[in-house]
Order: sequence, then C-alpha cells, then structure tokens
Amino acid sequence: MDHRRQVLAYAIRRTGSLPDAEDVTAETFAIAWRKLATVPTEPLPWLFAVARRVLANQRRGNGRRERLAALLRVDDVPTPVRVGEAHDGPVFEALASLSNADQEILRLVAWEELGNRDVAAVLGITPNAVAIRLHRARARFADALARMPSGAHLKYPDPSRTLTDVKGTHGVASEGVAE
Amino acid sequence: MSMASGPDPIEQLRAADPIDADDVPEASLARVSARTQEHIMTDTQRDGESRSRRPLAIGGAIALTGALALAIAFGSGLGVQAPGPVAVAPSPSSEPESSTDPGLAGGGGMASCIMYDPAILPTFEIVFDGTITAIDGDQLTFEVNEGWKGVGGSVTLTALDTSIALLGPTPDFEVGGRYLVTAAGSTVNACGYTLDYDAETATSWAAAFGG
Repeated sequence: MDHRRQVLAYAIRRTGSLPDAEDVTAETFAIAWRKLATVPTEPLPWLFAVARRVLANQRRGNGRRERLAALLRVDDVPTPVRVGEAHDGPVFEALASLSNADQEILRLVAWEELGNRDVAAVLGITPNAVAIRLHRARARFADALARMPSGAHLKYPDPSRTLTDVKGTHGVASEGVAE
Repeated sequence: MSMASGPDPIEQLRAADPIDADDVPEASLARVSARTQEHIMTDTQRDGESRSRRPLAIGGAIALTGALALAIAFGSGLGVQAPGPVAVAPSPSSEPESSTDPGLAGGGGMASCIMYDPAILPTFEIVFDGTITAIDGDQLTFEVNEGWKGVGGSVTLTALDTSIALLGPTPDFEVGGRYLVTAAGSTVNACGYTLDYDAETATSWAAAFGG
C-alpha cells in the first residue's frame, strides 16, 4: 500500500481533521526526504515515528496559538468538535480516559495493526517494553470500557462517517502523541 | 489490576477505527504530494541560495528542461544535510498538469514528487555519464565517461532495491549500457536522475555544471 495512505490515515486518526492530517503527512515526507540516510528498509514504523513527532510539534504550536489568541481575545481559534456515532462513544471515552502512552500503544496495535517490533520502532522502546506496556494498557482499557455508560461523549470520528464528515471537523480530537 | 471480562478490547478499538487507509481520497494524497513538494522546493531553494556564492552555472540549465515530474527516492542513502535524490519521471514531455499530482507520476509507495529542476543536479554528491563494466548483485561498476561531480575514472555504486524504493522507473542496468547517473553516497538514486543515456539530456546535465 502507498505509504502516504498509511501515514495520512495515521494522522487523520489522531487529528480528526483532514487538512491538519494532510499537513502532518506532508511534513513527515519532507522530513523523510531530508533524512534519507536514516530511512530504514521497512520505512513505515519510521514514518509513523516521524509523524508522531510532527503531531506533537503541531499540538505544541496549537497550544501556543491558543494561548496567544486568549491574550488577544480572539474567538475564532479552532477547537475540537464532536464527531462520530453513538455506538463508538464508550470505546472512545474509555480510550480518552487512559494516559497518552496507553492510548498510543493501543492505537498503534488496533488501528495501524503493528506488531510489537514495529510498535517498538515507533515509540523508541524495546519490543519487551512494548509487550509489558501493551499488556498493562490493554487491561486498563478493558477496565475503562467496563466502567463506561452507553452513549458516552465522542472524541473521535467514527468509521461509518464519510470523509466529508471527517474533513468537516476543525480541531484536534486526540492528545495521544506526547507521552 | 483486574482485567474486565467481555469482548477483546483491542478488537473493540479496531472496530472503531475512524478511517481505513484504503478510503483515503486521492485528492487528499495529491494535496499531500503538493505540500511535500512545497517543503522540498523550499529546502532546495534555500540550498541553492547558499550555493549561489559558488560558481555554479545552473541558471542556464533551468531553461533547458521543462516541467518534469520527479519522485523522491526515499529508500536511497543520502547524507542528512544534503537534499535527497530526486528522480525523473518517464517522459520529459510530461504535461504540466501531471505535476499537480506528481505522486502519481512518480509511482506509488513512498514516492512523492516535485517539479524537475536541473538546478537540483549540483546538489547531488555524485553526477556522471558512465558505462557499466560489471554488475555483481546490486553492485554496479561504471567507467565514467564524463564526471560532473564526485567521480572520475571508475566507480562502483549500489543499485537501489526498487521493491523497497517504491518509485517510478529506473533503468534496466546491463553491462555495456550507458547511463546518466546521480548518486547519494554510494547508492544510485532510484527512479531518475539515473537514466538511460541520451545526448540531449546529457547536454542539459553538463549545462547544470556550467558545461
């Protein structure tokens, strides 16, 4: 599969905004171009790792802009919007209740469908550490799911919604990059 | 910590995946390619500005070649500080609109594309016109007919595994074949700036170096 698709999907899942995800993906590939010597034979985990850092930087930038906007009393700063369908609510709510580190390792396994070795490459930790963290994150996620009432508030777009819906969102729906 | 019973939580999360990568729209990919191109061209221009203090006669070369779609050889080895290898799309007569989604012109995979600009040639570490004298696996030995940068005499370079590079066309290297080659480190750039030799392109490459 085209790596651009996978990186773009990665970014969409974490921003909830197609324009933002496109920016993240473009910057990720520009960085890859600048650092060709370090791109491994199997580039996807490396690309996810770069995209992860780009997202973190983008969010830091958003934070700065929002603080500046607050100072200037500007009201048009994009904010996360509610998207998705009710049946996914508890899943997203449970996910959002976890630490950023737990969220990201669960997303990498469930959404990017990475194995422990590739997750390790993305997160910059050992595969053993991934196994341990994943086991604990999974348990915490299961507990959180069990505590969720139905129809919980949604923080992510839902797969049944169209890309137009996703594109129509304007904010960052997840905070799962920084650990 | 207790593990709640019930459906596999990973499966529940997987079922709530906001988007399938297969559903990413082509238009969005095109925008990504265009924005990547903007980033890269900014880098290239910045690099060109820093080089403008040196006697590189690249200005004339720019006029020699029109808008060609290029692909970036992400799999190629290249120094971090140097602009990456850029690969020429199949036809120098590509229509301008082909550059609006250069990713398509450059092939799938990691390819992302920028507009062809011979000014980029001097940014490569190795640029030459050469004839292959030996092939050993992925090792290509060239007799350099004309070395514009970084080589002379003979040189052995590594061919990219194009199944990894996921880029556009690369020449079918064969002993006795003559090619226009650029390389990053010891690795031949995939998908262009490594081409079957032709006199017209060779002239434009020479012009990029003031020839």
